[in-house]
Amino acid sequence: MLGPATRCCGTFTSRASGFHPPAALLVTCWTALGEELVSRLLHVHFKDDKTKGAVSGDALQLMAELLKIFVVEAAVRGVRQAQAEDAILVDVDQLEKVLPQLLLDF
Amino acid sequence: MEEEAEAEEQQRFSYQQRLKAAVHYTVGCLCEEVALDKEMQFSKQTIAAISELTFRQCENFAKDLEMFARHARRTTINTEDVKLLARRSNSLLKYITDKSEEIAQTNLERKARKKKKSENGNHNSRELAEAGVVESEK
Repeated sequence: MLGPATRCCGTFTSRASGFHPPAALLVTCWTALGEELVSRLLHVHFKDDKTKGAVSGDALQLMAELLKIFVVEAAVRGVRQAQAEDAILVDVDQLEKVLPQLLLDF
Repeated sequence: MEEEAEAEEQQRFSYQQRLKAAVHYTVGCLCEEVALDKEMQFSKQTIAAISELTFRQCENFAKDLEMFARHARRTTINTEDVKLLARRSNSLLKYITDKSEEIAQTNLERKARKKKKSENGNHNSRELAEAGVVESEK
């Protein structure tokens, strides 16, 4: 059940087409803590007094989605790196290796 | 005076800490799901690293979003700004664009349903009122 969702998120950069949005799985903490957490996270860093109010509701939902993809992508790439290295778990060493490309893609 | 500034600094710091803790929890949940699916464990340091990463990336995102909105001479950040954030990878952009249409569609349907409900409500109460009027006139 989790398969398609995480698999999709994990390979979005390697497939030009054939990336289908996961069904509303991974409906987890992001969407539970959801909008409010994302809103607070962004507001902490807003510098401009004029924008301080306002992120539209749709934009918040989309940002939550983006952040979720960011986390899942980092995790799945880490797993792939660990699998390629025949490691038993994903450690910071593996994460370090996938970090540059991850940050370039975001 | 200095004490006040220090206290404020403290408050802001502890607020950030709480936010980071919330992010850490969420990242933990998401990684747990990935771990179950891929049958590969994550070390605690990795999860901590990813959550620190996410928090820092939020800062970049927030600043960019602000700039985009200001560039478009708006005070509200909307979905166009978010889509611009996702421009670096083609498949990411496509996914986000599709998602934004999905969200717009869902919200549109929800609004339509709400409107229908309130219209029905008004309709019913009007009917009752009319029936009441007819009754009393008899």
